[in-house]
Amino acid sequence: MNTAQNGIMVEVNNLKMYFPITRGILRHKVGEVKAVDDIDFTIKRNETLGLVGESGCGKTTTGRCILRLYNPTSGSIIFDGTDISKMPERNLKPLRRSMGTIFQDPYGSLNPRQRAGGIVGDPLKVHHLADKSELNDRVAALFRLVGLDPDMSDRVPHEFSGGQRQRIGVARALACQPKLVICDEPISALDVSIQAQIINLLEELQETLGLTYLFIAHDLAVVQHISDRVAVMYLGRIMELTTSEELYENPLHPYTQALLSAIPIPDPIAEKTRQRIVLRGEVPSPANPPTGCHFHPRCQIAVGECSEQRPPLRDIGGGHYVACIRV
Amino acid sequence: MAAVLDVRDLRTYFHTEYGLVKAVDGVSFYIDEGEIIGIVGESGCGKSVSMLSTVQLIQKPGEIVGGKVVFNGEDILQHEANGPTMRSIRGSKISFIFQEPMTSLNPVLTINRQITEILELHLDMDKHAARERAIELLKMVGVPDAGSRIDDYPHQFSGGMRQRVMIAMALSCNPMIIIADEPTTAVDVTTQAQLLELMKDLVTRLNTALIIVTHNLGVVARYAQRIYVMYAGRIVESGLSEVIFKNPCHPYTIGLLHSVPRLGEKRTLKKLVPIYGLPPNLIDMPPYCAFLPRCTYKTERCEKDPWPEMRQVGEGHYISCYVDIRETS
Repeated sequence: MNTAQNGIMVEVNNLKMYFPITRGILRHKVGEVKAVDDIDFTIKRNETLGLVGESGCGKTTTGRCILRLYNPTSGSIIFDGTDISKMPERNLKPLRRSMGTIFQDPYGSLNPRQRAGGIVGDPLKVHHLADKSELNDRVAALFRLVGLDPDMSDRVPHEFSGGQRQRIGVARALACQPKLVICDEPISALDVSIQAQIINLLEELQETLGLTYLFIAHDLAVVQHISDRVAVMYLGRIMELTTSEELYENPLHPYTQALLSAIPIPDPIAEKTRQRIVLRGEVPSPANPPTGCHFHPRCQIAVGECSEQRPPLRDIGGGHYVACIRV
Repeated sequence: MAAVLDVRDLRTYFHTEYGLVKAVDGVSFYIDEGEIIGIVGESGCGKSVSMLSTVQLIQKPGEIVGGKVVFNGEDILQHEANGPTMRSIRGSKISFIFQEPMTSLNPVLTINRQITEILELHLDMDKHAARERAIELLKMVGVPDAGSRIDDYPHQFSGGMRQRVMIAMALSCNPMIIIADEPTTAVDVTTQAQLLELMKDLVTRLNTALIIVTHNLGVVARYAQRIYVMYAGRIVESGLSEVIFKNPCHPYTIGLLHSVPRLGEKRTLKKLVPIYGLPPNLIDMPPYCAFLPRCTYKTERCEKDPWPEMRQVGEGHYISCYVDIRETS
């Protein structure tokens, strides 16, 4: 119960999630995809931890491990004081009540044949949190919470716009009053003018309900805006973890620097003077990652040692963690 | 410098069973030789349809109902869509790079076949010469080991590499204009940076005009010299990118710029200001300004008068709005 008291919601230690690659009729194992390869981080209560990286870097897998949608290969996940990484299936149901998820695709993540009120009310029924008489009121309250008109609860998903659908997704995630909400690319499928509506909604809900977010996205500008601290992932490992201000003002890992410089900002005058680091090559396959530091083949400051040993994620002061021997 | 492409009052309507959709409704833009322009807008604003309309790649129920597309001093809308003139322009003088490198390459043909096909068709090359040229093109766009990769199929390439192949194909006939329709939306940011830098270097070197169609304001800010902002089938603001980003005058452009988070801006310092409401349904549009329901600057006049014509507010800077925002704010 120690972690629960010192204000930490989630503590992930040495988390590994390897997926087997199988071949043939007997499906014998011929290799492994190291989707998440030994990572550590914590999420404090009432904070937003951003998890950013390119596709295939393991950010979604990390989120799913915390939700225990996957059984991690090794490592521990301490959620609210309890290690859940090896918890048996039958004990997971009450656990999942305290975690909500918002998915990327507001089209694919809602049952097209179910009415919006049913989608939002289902978690309440599953966890027996509301009896029939209360259910409608609870659903209406959730609709209002996310800025939807409760009269719309009889409609089916295709009658809503993309932004409204994502609001339904948010209402469903909040139905059981979770402590932690995992937002997996919640805005990347939305139009630019709608994205800000959802970002603001998430921020307001965090303030009013005291939520803790794990915010997974590939757009560093959005992640930085919403997060208190940001972890940058590359090929299954955390490269840098620090507060979002520090990450922007003082990025130390060469990958973070490249990632920041790759994002064009909507200001042509600033763009002219910005330094650009264009990375060589492409992200290697997580089934066959480079030795040593995973980033070394594309790194501009790599030395011989980089290909030999995995650099540890070390604190260089003030909670700024970097996994690079050249820093 | 003469405009290499000058589109005037282009209109493309779709006759759907629910009603008339004015996907492109009076769009005018031009591009000079070797220039890079950006066309920005959200999905469904008509940016792709207006690009496809310039080379008459519109199918039923769509129809180009009006306007002029002056290319090389000649209105090419006069030519038959499937006639020899249009076919000699498409893919050769005006070429496209599409968003989805996965679906815009034929999965059952080798890269060699797909590039040499264009060269044989448009430039009358023989098989051998076309293959040599194709390898050269692949090297130019940075496909490693081009000599052997050319015989691979699209699925053997990564997303970024496929998009490089698309760029090679677009460049194959030394086009005067390349239209890149959301060229990097399907790839990661570091790959996006690689591809955009590559495209910029190549078009600058070859003096090709480039139209970047995107919803990403950052991309146009970085690469485009001039910008057109589209909303509901029309251009609502146009001008030099430095001017538009510094001093946007149309309420939609202003809203768009305030609604995207910028790097290094934290929420505690600056909250995002979303554009409330939704983009309009393009079926049976009201006669007045389509942005009106979402506009925070609207006046009484906006509801009475028809959609405002483009008017000049600065040097080369035009907006389609009655309100002078610098005065009211």
